[in-house]
Amino acid sequence: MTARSDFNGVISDWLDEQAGRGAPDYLDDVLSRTTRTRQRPAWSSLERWLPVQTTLRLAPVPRLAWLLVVVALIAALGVAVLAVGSRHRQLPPPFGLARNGAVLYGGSDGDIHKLDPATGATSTLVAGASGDSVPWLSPDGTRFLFLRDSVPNADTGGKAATIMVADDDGSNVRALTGQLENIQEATWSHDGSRVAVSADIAGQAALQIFSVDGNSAPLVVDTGGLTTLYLAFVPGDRELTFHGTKGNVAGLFAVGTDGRGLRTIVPNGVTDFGVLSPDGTKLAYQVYEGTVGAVRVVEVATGRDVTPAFDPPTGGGVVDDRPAWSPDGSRLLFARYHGTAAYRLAVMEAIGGRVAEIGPTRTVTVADYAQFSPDGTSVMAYFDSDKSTWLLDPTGATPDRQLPSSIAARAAWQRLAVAP
Amino acid sequence: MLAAAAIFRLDAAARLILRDPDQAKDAVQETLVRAWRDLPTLRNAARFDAWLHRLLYRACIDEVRRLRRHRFDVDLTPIDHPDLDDATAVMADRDQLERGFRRLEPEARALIVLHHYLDLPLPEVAIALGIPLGTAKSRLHRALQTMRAALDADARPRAELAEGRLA
Repeated sequence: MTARSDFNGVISDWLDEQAGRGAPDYLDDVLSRTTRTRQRPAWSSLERWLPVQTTLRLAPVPRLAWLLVVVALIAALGVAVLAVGSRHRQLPPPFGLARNGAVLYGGSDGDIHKLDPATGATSTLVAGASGDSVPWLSPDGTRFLFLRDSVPNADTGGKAATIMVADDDGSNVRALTGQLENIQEATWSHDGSRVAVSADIAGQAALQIFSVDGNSAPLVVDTGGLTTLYLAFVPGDRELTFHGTKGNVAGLFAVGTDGRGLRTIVPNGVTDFGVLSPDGTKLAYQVYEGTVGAVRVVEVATGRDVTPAFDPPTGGGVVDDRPAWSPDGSRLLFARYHGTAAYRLAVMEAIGGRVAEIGPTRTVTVADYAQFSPDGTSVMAYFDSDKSTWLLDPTGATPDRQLPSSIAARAAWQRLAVAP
Repeated sequence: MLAAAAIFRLDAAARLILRDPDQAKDAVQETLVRAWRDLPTLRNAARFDAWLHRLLYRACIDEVRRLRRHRFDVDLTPIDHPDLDDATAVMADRDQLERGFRRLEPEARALIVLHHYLDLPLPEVAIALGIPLGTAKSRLHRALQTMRAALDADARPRAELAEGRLA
């Protein structure tokens, strides 16, 4: 023991001795606690926001393609001249109904692409040797964020990456942030001047607000150590809502965009999600009671429960989750299970009423995602089980339509001004 | 089944890191409940152990931070030096190791425990602690140096006493 030549061995022996062989007597307590704790469903991992892997594949470019590129450039130049000579682009409101624009998505080739959902025509917006993925469009549709060279963190579902920003035509690409660790989510302010990012700082969960013009240092918001998800700026951009977790704490919170005034909207409970209505007055979230998962709605200002009546309701094997709002806030979109991992998407008036199930029955996976189109007339759904993206009619009246299969994960739908 | 299999080594590791059986119990319970809750989101089953160690580390650090807000730790240092026969010298070394180990920050203790008690390779320790490999290496080196220095410093009065300088 006194010989210090093998100090590592001394330490190991001492630790073994200190650890002892006594059996802990609280296994039953642990099992009792776990039976009272709902397991976090696989789909609740943030991988649904962020693709698991992006693979860079550089295909040889045929000569015909070069010719087409030249023709396209000439055409683009002509359009640009016309545009400059005519008038400024009209912008959509930051929330509410808008005209459908392009669908932006990260492809399996590590590039950002653009799809015209009406014609199926695609084009590449950001290409190159870097792996780019997960575009987030600004509310006015003029710019988008994306992840560059992201590395997934299997433990947390987050990603290490640089967040980039570009104009909606793929030009003016620049870094919004440095390399961030464990990025969970990012969201635009309504005026497009700021981006809130949930990521780690020095290994601790943090919420930061970046200025898009890069003229000021990011503001670190005090969330009391909560990991923040489902970030959303309340219209007016003076407050952010989010779902916060820390240890066994999970609730809905709001905090001022000046970094102060953290307040609780829904206190600790078995909750998930926390999706802000377009007008910023309500949050839709999921609560789990026993074996019943149900969508609830709460007022942001007061925390008062204003859940509408679902017909048929949850219970008896019916479970609802993943709520989303239509652009005008008049309808709720959610996933409805019937006792198994298989689910269908469902739509209901936000004031309550009959639940209409739409689209195919699918087995849920981590990355499944669904959203209303900007004009509210269709639902775009991504099913990760077969990597397919579909356009569904929220009324169920018209047949489902599959979009090109190159969409590798969650896509973003561009909002355009109603009157072009 | 997973909890039963894991609880022995987690409990031992937590007791070593926290040096308090009650705190260790709380940290292990928290670890296993979090593991149960988040298990479906673990994408790679082969990484279960690394993931569990990370959860344990976080729970231990949370426990330390929670208690730091509520109490002050008082180090009790024995006034009398132990006798110097061989048997008590071994005991004295263990005491000194204990004291040196307690002087480390919990993060450094966790590093030593994961590497020297749970025998995790340093890259896995780095993942569990959420730090780069180089940082893990340098922190481990520094922690062991601190322990060795504490040991040497504590040993000095005894050696000097044995040689009669302080007699």
